[in-house]
Amino acid sequence: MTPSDIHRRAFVRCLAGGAAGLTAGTAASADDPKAATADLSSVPHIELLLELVRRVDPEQLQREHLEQLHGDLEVNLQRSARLSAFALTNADEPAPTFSAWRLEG
Amino acid sequence: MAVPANAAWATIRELGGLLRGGEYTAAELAEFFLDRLERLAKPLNAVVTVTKALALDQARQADAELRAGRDRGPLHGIPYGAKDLLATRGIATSWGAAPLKEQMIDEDATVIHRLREAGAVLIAKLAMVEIAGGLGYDQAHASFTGPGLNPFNRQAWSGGSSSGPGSAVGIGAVPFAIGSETWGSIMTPACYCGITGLRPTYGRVSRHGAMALSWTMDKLGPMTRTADDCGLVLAAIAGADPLDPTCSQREYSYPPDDPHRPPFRLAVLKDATERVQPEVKANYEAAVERLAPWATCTEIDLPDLPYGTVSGTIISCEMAAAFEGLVKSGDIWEMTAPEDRWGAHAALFIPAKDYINAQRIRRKIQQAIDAWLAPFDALLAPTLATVAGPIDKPFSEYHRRWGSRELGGAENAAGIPAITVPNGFGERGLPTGLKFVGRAFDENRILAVARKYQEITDWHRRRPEE
Repeated sequence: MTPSDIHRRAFVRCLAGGAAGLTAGTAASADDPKAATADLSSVPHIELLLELVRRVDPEQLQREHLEQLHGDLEVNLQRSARLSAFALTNADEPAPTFSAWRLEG
Repeated sequence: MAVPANAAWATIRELGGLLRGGEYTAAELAEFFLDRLERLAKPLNAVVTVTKALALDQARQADAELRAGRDRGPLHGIPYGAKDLLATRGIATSWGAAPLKEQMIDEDATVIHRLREAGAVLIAKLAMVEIAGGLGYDQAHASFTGPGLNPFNRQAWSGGSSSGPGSAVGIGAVPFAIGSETWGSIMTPACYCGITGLRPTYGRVSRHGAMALSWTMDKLGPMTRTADDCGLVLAAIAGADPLDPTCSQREYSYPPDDPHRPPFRLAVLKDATERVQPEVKANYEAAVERLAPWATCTEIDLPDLPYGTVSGTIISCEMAAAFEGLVKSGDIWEMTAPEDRWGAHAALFIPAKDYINAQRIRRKIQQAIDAWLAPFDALLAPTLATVAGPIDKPFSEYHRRWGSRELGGAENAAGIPAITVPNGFGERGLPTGLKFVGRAFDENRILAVARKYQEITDWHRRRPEE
């Protein structure tokens, strides 16, 4: 079992608890709405993302696909961190600039 | 009259000269290359559609015009092939993807239209990696037409994603082809197949009617036998297009009014051969030495910026937007390479701020690269770290030991032009490549250096066995 599997199972349990609470009005969510959120906060960011990806195509995406997607997400998160770490000022605009347009003629 | 067998390896000027000299007609020339497509390019999995009826119509029109004294220029009557991501009215445009095999787009891409206006004869839609490789393929078998095979060694890959243009030109089945590059898709197959490939400046050539993988990174360009051929084709397809708002208003002409002549001011990339195959290193060093009498050479180091991160993020985000429908329809599960079936999913969740930050850093990259290249006519580097890998081996496995500096990511993030020319052979008898990189809109400078290299060497005239 990989660390990812452990996180994923914890995450699924967490979601199950939250969903049950919302639909059945259980004590877990009705009395303490923060409970599910608090549990989710322990789930790594990448596992949350993986669950979102899984929901795009839950019928087709199998375990081996999710393992590879986990790698893709790691790359995206590494890129994200590197982009965020780059020193940019408020004046640094994106490369392709938007311009107003009208049909001539 | 019969077309001589060596026409298969002739340049555009040579073919045009013989056509105008009455050695053969444009229709005969089209038939000659149509036959080669069937016999030689199809077995390399290089062809999606042979456009025989259209080709013969266009060729007969070219003949009639020449008889009537109308000459449309150097491409008049010259056959060519187009990567199958360029829309052609009445002919399917598959984007290399099995679920889109029958896709009909009811217009011609601007490039197709301009080549017709220049008198060129479309004889085939050529194979490509599915969705131009944007789904993250890791193997040669990533197109419904099968793995692109290398003309110099059928057990090796042709390169991608412009696989058909690379191998069809490489085997002498078309005099030139149009490919596209988002990151590496002209340079790689041109290098692997031993031909000359020009990636123009972003915006130099209209993208209208071409499949969009990444709106801000896609470029269309010629894949040919020589640098001179690249200039001739670029002159026919370049220029402003109201249908592509990102297309530059700058004019392009070739041959240039004021051609660049030696001595050239060349830069060589520091540590360019650090992690390349031994033959790639030897051929590169020999090429630099060969050019030395015509140039001053200065070693320069790539500015330290996150090129791969920026280019990768931009392509992933734009690809995710362009192909979200393919993912959500489930059609993506019909892709040929298994890894392509789920290769787009993770990109659907990249935050918008990452894309925007990548575009902000991209502007800094553009400025830094422009200043870096400004003192030079061209920067030289090995086109790729290796020759083509075996068709049955994942890329990640074959390329594990080798790797280029981040130059390719820098070039494509900055949108600057480059040309690759053959410069020798490496393991398994496969070609290696030398590239010349220039400032934005400096195609004619890098073409001048590449032409000089091809004047003093004959690697571009080496042919594979048929």
